[in-house]
Parts: sequence; structure tokens; C-alpha cells
Amino acid sequence: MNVTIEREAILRILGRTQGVVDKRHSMAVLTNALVEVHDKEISIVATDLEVSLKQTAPAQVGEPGKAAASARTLFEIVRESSADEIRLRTLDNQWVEVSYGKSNFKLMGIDPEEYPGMPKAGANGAQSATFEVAAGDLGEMVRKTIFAVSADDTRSNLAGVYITKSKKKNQIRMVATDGHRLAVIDRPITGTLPENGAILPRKGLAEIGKMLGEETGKVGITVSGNEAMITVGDSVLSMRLVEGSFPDYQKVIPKETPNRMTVSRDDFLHTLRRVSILSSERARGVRFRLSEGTLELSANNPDMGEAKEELAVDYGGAEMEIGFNAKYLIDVLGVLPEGGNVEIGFGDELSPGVLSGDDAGYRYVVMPMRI
Amino acid sequence: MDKSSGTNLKSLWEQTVAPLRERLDSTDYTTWIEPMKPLAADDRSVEIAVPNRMFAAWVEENFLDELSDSWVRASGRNSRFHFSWGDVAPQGELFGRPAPAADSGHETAEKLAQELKQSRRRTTGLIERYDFTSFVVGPNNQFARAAAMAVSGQPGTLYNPFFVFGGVGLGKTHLANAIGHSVLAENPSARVLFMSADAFTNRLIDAISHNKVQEFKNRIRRVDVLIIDDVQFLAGRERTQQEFFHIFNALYERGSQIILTSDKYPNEMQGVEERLCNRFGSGLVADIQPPDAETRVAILERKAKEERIHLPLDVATHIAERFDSNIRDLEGALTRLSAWASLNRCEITLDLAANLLGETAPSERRPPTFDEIEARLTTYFGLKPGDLKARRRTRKISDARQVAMFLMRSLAGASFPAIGEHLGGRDHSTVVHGCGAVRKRCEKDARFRAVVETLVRELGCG
Repeated sequence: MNVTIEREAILRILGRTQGVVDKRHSMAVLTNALVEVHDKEISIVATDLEVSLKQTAPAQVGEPGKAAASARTLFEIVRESSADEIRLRTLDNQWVEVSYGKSNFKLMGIDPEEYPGMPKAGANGAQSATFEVAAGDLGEMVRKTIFAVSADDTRSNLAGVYITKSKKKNQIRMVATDGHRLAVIDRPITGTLPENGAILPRKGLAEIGKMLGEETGKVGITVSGNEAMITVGDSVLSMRLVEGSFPDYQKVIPKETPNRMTVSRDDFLHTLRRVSILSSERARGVRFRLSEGTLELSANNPDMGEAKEELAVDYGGAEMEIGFNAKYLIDVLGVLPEGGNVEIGFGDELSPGVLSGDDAGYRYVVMPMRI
Repeated sequence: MDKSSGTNLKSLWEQTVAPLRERLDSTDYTTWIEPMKPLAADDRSVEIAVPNRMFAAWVEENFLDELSDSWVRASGRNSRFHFSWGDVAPQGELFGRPAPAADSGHETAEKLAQELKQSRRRTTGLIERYDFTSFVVGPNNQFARAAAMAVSGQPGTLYNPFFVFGGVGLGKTHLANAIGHSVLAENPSARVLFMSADAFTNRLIDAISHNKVQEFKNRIRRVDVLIIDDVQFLAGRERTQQEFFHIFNALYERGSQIILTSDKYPNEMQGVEERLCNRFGSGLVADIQPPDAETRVAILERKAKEERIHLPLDVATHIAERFDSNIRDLEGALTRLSAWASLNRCEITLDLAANLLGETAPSERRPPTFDEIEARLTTYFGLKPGDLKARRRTRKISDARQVAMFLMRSLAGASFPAIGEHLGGRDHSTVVHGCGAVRKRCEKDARFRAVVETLVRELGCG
């Protein structure tokens, strides 16, 4: 193998592999990236067996071939260079040579045949569904749900975003929850969705977010067997679906929320950030005291002190007091557009609140906490 | 749950704990009362957040009574206490409460108390069948038993520590267990811990290797009654003795009853630090001697009744004559006899017993030789070989030497000059004086007498 590639291109590709390669080093081979050179192009594969990413770029090919070496080291070598072009060459015994300008690096590689490579979507004759979604919509959906995915390893069925059919025709619905809050978003698609839905892992979803970047136009997603695959430009991302069944999320979205409050997103967010400084570190509890036209937020940390702030809101419901984890609200307000309004509907102090913004396809449900 | 404001609940709680701040010592208050946070309250219950389950159990056990009294006074409500720990408690769940993580949960105070009681029963280490009712009393153990019953009536105050010593298989362990059972019967929430000195050592080693010495010590330091069996096995284990010394002092200061058993008198235990021996002997020392013939028969009859064995009196008398020094052997003989009888489907008779266990009452034993007496005393008092014959006159050696004279005279029946000759060429008047001194001291000093009796028994049994 002997290939020369623009620094800019390979730096971007190697940078993207860093999020995919196995950080836990459970298998040493997975810390490597696989380099494949065909005529006129180079492709680099990284995988942790859950999520696999293959990126391709044009290159000046001297001699086709394969090599595999540490993804981290390759990235660092390229990052520190100031040359315009980088040359990669295989030597004997799996050694890989990286050179640019007057610099020369020799890396101990591994046998490229040992590298797992990309899973083949649609293998095993499994049923598959393919749909297309606008790149902008997909990016927004990821951004507005991923923060609600559970970080709790013991609830593996919540460790991803559920995709399913929306009630409206030709719409996809994405749902994420950690058991305390839940984000639901609907967006139009063309094509077919998997019949029983699928749970995409958080890590794969995060990679989708990064891949989309400035991408415009449509993006295709294929769900097949226990893999989902998405192609964006010159990159193909494949991820293993999360096993288990997603809980009945529709049941927990309140049908009626008699006490509705409308507030400026910016004011609300900033007030929450200030008041929660004095909430306890773990629970981040903030007390809401609602009365006509006013929301009083207060927090109290026995070790530090207390905070209180009044906020003018549009509220005509019953007077009530309810507590929330400030983080759960700050998270969602952070992904809503600046300058807009948000509406929160409350039942009573033990029932979930439902938050929505100007985006009719997005809802966020959050359980209160007892304070 | 509480419809009134949380500030209200908080001030109620402050009123509740305020009197405890004055009453408890400050460490207890900051460790156990301060971390509790009220979560919610209604007319019937009050929910308290605690750091973990262990904490809840401890609070339930030690402070709940005072807390609830104080709560009633502050709130006017007679509420049940609920404890929650971990962080799932205050945050509402969309899909119902998930299976609680190992470190979170919710329990009512009553349930905790119940579980605690059960687990305590499991973890006392007491042997179930060793209680006072199954202990056969005779002149040999009358004093020890009476003392044990007194101790169990007023643990920690009357005789502390209570040290039982006596030969193998005479009922030391039985008596020590009986105290534990009796204390528990009186006060089911008392923390009683029984373990052998060996088990203590092993657990300590385990704790050291897992870096958990502090937890181990804390656990033991919390007990109300600590029973250590066969404490002579601490001999030569310096680290164990050191830790035990501190635990002993902590328990003693706390007013916990300490009960020790040993086959030696406290100060005679070799390889045990003097400061420990002194403490062991600082309370009441009671000895158990081998049972007399009547007691042995009574023991056999009780055992036979327990095991539903038909044991004729003449057989019981025969066994009791044959095994005169050790109850374990005595009971072993009965077991052997009844096993043989039931396997061969025959009655237990005197002939059978004579055949199986040997014909005669214990043979006339030959008196011990000078060398045997010297060897036994050397090990018992922890001397170097030859010390008895040497000129040295430290207190320990001269005590041992006098005991040697007494034993050689009374057991071996030797002449004063012969004894003097053997013990380093001493004058016969020295020996006469020595024997008299031992006899006199036995009259005045019960502990000393017990030591001498133990030695007489051991040497007499060959």
C-alpha cells in the first residue's frame, strides 16, 4: 500500500474515528483503524463492534492495499503536521510508515485481516426498512432527544433513542427517556419505518449528529436485522440496535394538563440557572410556586444557603407548589431556540409536567420531585 | 403527603431534633441525627431521607424512640417513620419505581426493626442448645453458674469481665452461651456476639487483608455482650492481642459485658500480654472443676432424656465411674453406647456398657514423676526448662517452685529432702516451707487455689 492524501481530508476523517474506537480497550485490536486503498480513493474504518464508521476520500494511489494501526497515534501524527499532504505506506511485518515534509514515522501495525471491518446490513435475509429524512430535521431530532437518554447501565432498554411511526402519516417519531423525563419529536420522512420500531444506541446517535455537520439535503437510513445504517456524503455509519423493548411511553404523557404557564424561554432558563446554584448538588431540586401571573423559583441547600427569584409569567391556573430537578429543565431549554416562548402544563404536584415550545412536533415530559 | 409548605416541615423537623442535640453527645448527633432530612409528612407518616440502609437501621435502633417522642411533641401527630435512601426517593418516576439500585430503597421503621431482630438472631453466633436449663449443676460448677446467672441479670455492671476457666469439656462454652441466651431473652434487642478466639483472629486477619479493620472493630465495639471462647488461643498472636486490647477497653468503657473462657487462669496464660491478662482477671474469675460422680450421673441422665435413650441407673453409674474428668468424653461414651445398641437392636445393659466401654472403673493411676510435674509446671507458668532447679528467685519462678514442691509432695508422695535435692539441691526446710506456703495461700486466695486444683487434676489424670 502506498497512498498520498490531503492533510485536511485525512485529519477530518481520523478526527471522526476518535469517537468510535474503543476507549475501554476491552479488545486491543479495536483501538486501531483500518486503512483500505483502492484505485483513486482511501477509506478508513473504525469500530467498537457496536458502532462502525467508514469514511472515504479521494487520494493519489501509488499502490492499493490495506493496513491497520493505532487510530489515536495516526490522528496525533497528522494533527501535528503542517504539510499539505500526508503519505502512508506499508512496510514489512505490518509496519506502517507515515511521512510528510521532512518527518517520518514508523508505526507497529497489526494484520489488517484481523480487523473486524464493517457489518453488512441486510445480511441474514433479515427484514429491512429504508427511509429518508432531511439532514436538518435529523440533526435537530438527535439534538432534542439525546440528552434525555438514560445514563443508567442497569436500564439498558432506555440507553438509546426509540424510533417509531408517528400517528401522523409519513412521519417518524423519536423518543428518549431516562425514566424521569421524556423527549418526543416528530418529523416528516419518505419511505418505510421498521414495523416494531427500533432503539438506536446513544453513541451511534451522537456520531450521526457529528456526521451531519453542515449537510443539507436528504439522508438515508436503513434498519435491517439488528443493525441500523446511515449514509451521509462519503461516510457510512452502522450501529447495533439496543436490545429490549422500549417502555410504553404514550401512557406517561399526560392527556390533560389543566394548569398552564407560558414564559419566555430565555428568562426561564436564566432564572433556573441562577436559582439552581443553591440547589443540592445531587438532586438539583428547585421549588416552583405558581400563582396568577407569577412564578417564584426557590432553592435551598442546607450546606450553603438559599435562593429565590420571581418571574413574570402568563399563568391563570390554580395556585400550586411543585419541585423539579433544575437540570432536567435546563437541558431541554438549552435545545430550544432563543427568543421563543415555552409552555408548561401542570397537573398537580405529583404529576408530570409537559413542556412544549414553538415547535409543534416536540414535547418534553418531566416528573416532579418531592421537596 | 404534606400539603403545607416544606419550610413548615423543615421547621417542624428542627424542633424535633433540637432536644436531641442537647441530650446526645455531639459525635452521635453529627453522625446520626444531622444527616437525616425530612422529605414529606402527612397526618399518619413522616418520611425521612437517610444516606443508606445501614444508617436507617442504626437510627431505628438507637434513636427512633427519642425521635418519635420528640416528633409527637413538635408536630402533635403520632406518625410512623419511613426511611428512604439513595437518590430515587424524591425524584418522581415516569414508569413507576424501578427495581431499587443496591444503594437505594425505602422501608418503614417497623420493618427495619423486625429484620434487624431476625438478622441479630442469626448473627449472635450463640449455640442454640447451650442455655441455663440444659446446664447440669453440681458442686463443681455451682459457683460459676451462680455467677453466670448474676451476670446475665445485670450485664455490664456486676462482674465485668466475667472469666470462666476450667479444663476441656467441663462446660465453659455452655455456660458462656447460656449467659448470651439469657441476656437476649430478657432484652431481645441486645446485641450479643459469641465467637471463639480463633474465629476472632481469623476475622481480624480477613479484615486486615481487605483493609477493613476499622469496620471490623466498629462492629464489635457496638455489641452489648461480647463472648470470646477459648481466649488462651490468643497466645502468641501479638497483633490480635493488640486489637483485642483496644476493643476490650472500648467495650469496658461503654459498659458492655465481656465474657471470656479459657483453660487457664488469666495470669497463667502463656504468650498473652500481661496488660491483657490483668484486664481478664480484673472482674470475676470463676472456675469449673470436673463434676463429681453424682453430677456425672445427672449429666448422663439429662443427656439420655434429651436423646430419648433408655438408660438404666446402673449403666449410668458405670459410665460415670469410667469417665471422670471430661463431660465431652462422658457424653461421647453414652452416644457410642446408644448407637451400638440401636444398630444391633438391643437394650442398653450393664454388660453391654462394660464390654463396649471397658470393664473397670479407672485404673489406679501411677503417681506422676518429678519430671512430669516439672515439665507441666514449666509450660504452665511459661518458664524456661531448668528454671525450677536454678537459683533465680523472681516472683513467678519462686511461685512455680513452691507449687512444684507442693505437687511433688502431695501427688508423688516424695520426701522433703528428695524434693529439695531434685529442685536444685535445696534444703528440706525450704521444701517444708514451700508446701506450707502453697497450702496457706490456697485457703486465702481462691484464684490460686483454682490454679493448683487444675494442675492437680491434670497431673492426677496422667
